[in-house]
Amino acid sequence: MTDLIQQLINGLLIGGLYALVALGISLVFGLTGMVNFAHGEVVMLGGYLTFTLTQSFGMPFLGSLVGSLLAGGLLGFAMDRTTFRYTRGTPMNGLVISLGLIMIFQSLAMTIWGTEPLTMDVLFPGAFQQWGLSLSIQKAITLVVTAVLIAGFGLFLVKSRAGRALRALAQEPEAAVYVGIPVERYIALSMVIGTALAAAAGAMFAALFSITPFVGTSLTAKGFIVVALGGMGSAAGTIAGGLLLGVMEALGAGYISAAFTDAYGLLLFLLVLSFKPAGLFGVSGRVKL
Amino acid sequence: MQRVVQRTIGVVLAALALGISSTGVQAQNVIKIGAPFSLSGPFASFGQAGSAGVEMAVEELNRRGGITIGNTKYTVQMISEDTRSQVADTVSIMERLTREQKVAAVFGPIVGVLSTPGQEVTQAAKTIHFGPAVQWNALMGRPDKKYLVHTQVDDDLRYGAFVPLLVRETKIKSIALLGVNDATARSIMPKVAALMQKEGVKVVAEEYFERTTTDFSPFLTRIRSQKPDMLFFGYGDNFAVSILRQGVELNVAPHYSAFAGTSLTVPMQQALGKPVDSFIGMVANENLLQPLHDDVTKWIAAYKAKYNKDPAGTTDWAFSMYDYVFIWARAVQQAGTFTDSDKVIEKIRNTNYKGVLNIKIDGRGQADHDYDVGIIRNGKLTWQHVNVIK
Repeated sequence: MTDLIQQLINGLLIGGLYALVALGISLVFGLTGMVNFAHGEVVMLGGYLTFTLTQSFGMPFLGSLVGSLLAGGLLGFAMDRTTFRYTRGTPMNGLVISLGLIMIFQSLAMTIWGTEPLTMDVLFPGAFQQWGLSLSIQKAITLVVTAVLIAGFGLFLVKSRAGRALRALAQEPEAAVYVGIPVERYIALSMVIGTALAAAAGAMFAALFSITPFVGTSLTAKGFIVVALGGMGSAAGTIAGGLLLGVMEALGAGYISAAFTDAYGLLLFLLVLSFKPAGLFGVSGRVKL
Repeated sequence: MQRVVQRTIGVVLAALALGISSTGVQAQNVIKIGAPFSLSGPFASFGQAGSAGVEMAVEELNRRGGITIGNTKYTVQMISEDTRSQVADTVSIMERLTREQKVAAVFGPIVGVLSTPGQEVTQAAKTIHFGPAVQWNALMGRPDKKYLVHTQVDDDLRYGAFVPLLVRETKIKSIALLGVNDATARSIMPKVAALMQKEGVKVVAEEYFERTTTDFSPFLTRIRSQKPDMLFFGYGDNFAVSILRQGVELNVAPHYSAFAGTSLTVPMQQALGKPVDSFIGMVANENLLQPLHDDVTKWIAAYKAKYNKDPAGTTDWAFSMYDYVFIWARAVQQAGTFTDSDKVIEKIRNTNYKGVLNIKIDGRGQADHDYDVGIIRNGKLTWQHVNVIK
């Protein structure tokens, strides 16, 4: 029983990060129909920036997390203004551009940080040890920060004027235009928020694991599985999908074999889509943020 | 005017003719060697180290006067290629190097998933090929793999020396083995398991994980429930550091050990700062953290001078290439040819060489050499040099 609870904690921790990565993908896809394959590279850059800010400049973790979040948002804005805005209406062009951006970001990371894996020092030493369960303070902090970011994003979507506008755009784009919502501005905002969340996920990823210029690729793949699992464009579904994927991987690797960790997620994906083709929270033919 | 034009044309033609002939002379005095490495992609840290090893050796070789065959002096030219860590790219590069460039030898790649398909091309083209892949252990001595030189210690020899040392140092009674799910770890782990059992150590778990794994906690939790005295894992710095950190957080075992495939510089430094009772790391070649030999110290100084940076965690993979360039050059001189691979390979086999490593190559082309083992106990790191060459 203790092991099962430990595995659930393990799963929720990694699942929360998956959800954070996937929220950005879901947000941008929901509004533009574009698949940004370079999203994982923003996670990677956020991780490297946090690493540099904490290890080289001695900034506290939370400060460097905010720095990465802001830099991620800025990067998203730059990507949108310089490239993606010209691909509106032709999502395939956006997809191809995002593949090019992967190479640019990976080469940039290799040039600046090299190819050796980088691992942060333990920023918060110690662990909670109770009833045979173990949770390091570093993991506990990232778990709390992830939950805060996800909850904050949820509140933003539901309570704020901008969040309501984004949801309206995703659900009924034409009606949103008629009521005077500036589409272009909100699409740019979705890119900013999505990449900011990705960079924040990268910050937490770097606090827990080693980073290399190539970690983004598998995180993008997981992000897409989570989005499809939860239902394309559904924020609640994305969060649920992320946590479910994390728990599924933890239980599979913990109780069956570690050699097929990625396969457990795909199995879950196939299983869910067999019964609910639109995903857990998705509605066929509609996007719901 | 017409005369001016004629003169100009004449001068241009003469210059072109001279240029062509001088290029021809240059080409005659150059021996090309191929250096296909992962300069980008997931295996870039290994590839860049291997490429640096060849580059440094070639420069030094040419500085010493190159290779002399008869009365002719030859300069060695390194043809550097980036495999991008992709199998398809590696195979096409091998085709280009052997058929178009007609290189006299190929050095690399480091990683077996690339060099193993790559050697199919070099062996068909009768080109001498140097590489450290564990997968090559099974190829050595085969008649159709005559031109391979395996630049890493034979697994049986390596682990046959390491496992008794590890058990002697830690007095462990049980062990859990954890490796990346690839041919290298799948080849090593069963051998380690057998050697452990021979030493009276119970193997309580043998687990393999996917290369993309970053979160090891699910299966470390399971391994913890088996209560092993030691967690033995490998084999990249990225895996090693993460496993060590997460293993310590979960209290998986009191003792930790990581095996060859990395210099383990980064995990060693990490372990020093953690409450690990003991950590034993086996490096693939010589350690670069606290060199045990002057030759290694000098090599590090040369590396720093050339690349203007400190050696990284995986830089010791340069040693899987560096000395072997000189071994090949010596064989070419002795054979009196660089085009007849049969004659050159005969001069490489059954030889010894003392460079940065102390190397002995057997009749199959299998090169064995000494290696270092680092032991951390109570926050102190000491090194032992393991002699496998009798």
